[in-house]
Amino acid sequence: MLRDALIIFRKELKNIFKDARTLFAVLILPMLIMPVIFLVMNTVSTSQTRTYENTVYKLKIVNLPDERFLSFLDQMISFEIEENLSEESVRSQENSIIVEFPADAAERVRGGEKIDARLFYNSTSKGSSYGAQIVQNALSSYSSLLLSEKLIEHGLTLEDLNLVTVEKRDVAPEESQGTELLATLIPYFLLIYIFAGSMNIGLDTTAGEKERGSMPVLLVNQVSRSSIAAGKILYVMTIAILNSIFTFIGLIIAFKVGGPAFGGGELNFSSLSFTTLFGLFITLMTMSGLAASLVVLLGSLARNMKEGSGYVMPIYIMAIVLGVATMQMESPDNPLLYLIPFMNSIFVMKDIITASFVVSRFSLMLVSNLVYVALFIYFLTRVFNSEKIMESSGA
Amino acid sequence: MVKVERITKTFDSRRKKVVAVDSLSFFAEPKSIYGLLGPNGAGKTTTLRIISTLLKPDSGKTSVMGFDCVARPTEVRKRIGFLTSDMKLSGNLTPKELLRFYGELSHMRDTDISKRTKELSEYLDMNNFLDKRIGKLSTGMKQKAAIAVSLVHDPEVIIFDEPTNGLDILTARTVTDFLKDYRDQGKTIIISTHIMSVAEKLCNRVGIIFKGRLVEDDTLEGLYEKFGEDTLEDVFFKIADREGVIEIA
Repeated sequence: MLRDALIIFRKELKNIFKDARTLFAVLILPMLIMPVIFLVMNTVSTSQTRTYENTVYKLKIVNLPDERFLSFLDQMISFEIEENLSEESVRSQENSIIVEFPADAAERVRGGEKIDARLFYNSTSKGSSYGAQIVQNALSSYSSLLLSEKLIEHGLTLEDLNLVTVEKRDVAPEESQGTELLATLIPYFLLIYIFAGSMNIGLDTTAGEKERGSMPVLLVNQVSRSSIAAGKILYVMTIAILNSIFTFIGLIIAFKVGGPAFGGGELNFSSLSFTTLFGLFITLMTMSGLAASLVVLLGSLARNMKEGSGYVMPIYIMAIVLGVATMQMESPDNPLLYLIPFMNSIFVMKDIITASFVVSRFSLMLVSNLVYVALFIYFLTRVFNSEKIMESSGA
Repeated sequence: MVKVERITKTFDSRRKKVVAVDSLSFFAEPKSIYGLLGPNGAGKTTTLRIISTLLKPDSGKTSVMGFDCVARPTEVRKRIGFLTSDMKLSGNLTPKELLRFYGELSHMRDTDISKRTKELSEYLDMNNFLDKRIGKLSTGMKQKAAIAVSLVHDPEVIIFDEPTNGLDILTARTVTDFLKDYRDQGKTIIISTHIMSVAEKLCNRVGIIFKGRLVEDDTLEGLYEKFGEDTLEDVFFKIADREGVIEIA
């Protein structure tokens, strides 16, 4: 049986590896797409920040209490004073901000009293919002200066106000520190890409084969139907695994490219040791086998690609929902949850990435997934042995 | 040889049973082409699929070279070449690679596959596109490749569903020439068609099917004589009228 299954597997693989476009879509694109998205986002974000930093903001300061506030502003932002600014002009012009102090602000500051400042900006203008944030920072610094002066009069400093100092110590194992983001994102992306990788290929090799009329010719051969089913699953599973591995590589590159702006700085890539990667690979294998056998089964029940897509799409959407729902969840202790397909793999992957590997959870996931795959193969063989597999055109 | 004995096949369709083939019997012998002739939906494809082991009859018996199609499907599959004009070869493999694939599926040895590939590519004049991708071939070239694929294991019986359906005149000629040639080589050939001229050109014996029932089974000459007509089309319409399928004015 295995020999015959490998004939089918080799043929399908050869067919796909000879098509540069499919190869690009299945292998190269998943590796490039995330780094490119992150790179573009990073570049745009950096360039926008640079633009805002280099912008000369129009500023109107009403009732300036103290020249020192202007020197704080001067250190943080380029600006020119525009006395004619009004609320209306802030609304209609880019990069305009009004800071309004009370009429007796200077007097109150001198007397060490509290003052209220009002900031007028346009939240729909990114430039105005950015400028307002900087002005707020300058106000904060100015406030600290006034407070510090007041404290000195009483023989105190700002530091004296911190009566409790906090020192945080992370007692998690070194290898699991900084892995939270990886544990959140990697299982989600792998699940999505396993399905994305399986869907088109799995439907093409089943419902597509029916549509092209080549299924009867394949079935009128000396290989058993179970060999044909196994060969097709093996092929779809291989592509799904390759797809998800390349996605994984793409994600790692993306985080490196994205840098601290997208959480890259908080990531602990050293947690991805050989053992971790091996554990992830085994989990990935069973999850791919599950997705591949499910897609091939549904594709075999369909009469054409369109019908097949209708069968598979709800499962794909469920996988996305499952991925999102479990993103922020910690791996639960309830062993029954490790019998739920796909969810079990997500939790085990989280365990592996955060160096919290639990043998019993991993074993439950492995065994249950293998049982599901065996069940799907059993049903698939039944479909291949039944006349259902011929349902594409009438008598 | 192929023996079909009183086979019946029903399908479930929208909560009712549809009888696709109704107690149908015929016999196809070596060195001849047997044609199943009938309108669309008459049960021709279902009959051919039962002979090819793709479907199982509800009742009755079918055998190929003495092997029962239900009890010994693998033995039957070794001896038949199944082809349908619905098959659209596509993808990135070359005819040569496809022949190897189907040869391997037939458990042929490597050397035998290579030898057979050479024979078939010369016989079907495929040498100039044997190494080109199927997806880049013309309809005629694809049809030749499909024929070669079904013949790679050198079957004794060839079953061809609607052999010239949808083909241009040149490709159709390739197909009819091949069928005639293989008949002359001593093979048993069964085709289904709804095109009278194809049946007249190719068939030694014709079975006419209406609504799953074989209403006539004779040689072309026998049918002309019986119905006093000199074309198969006229014979067909007389039978259709007799069976109440159509009314001739």
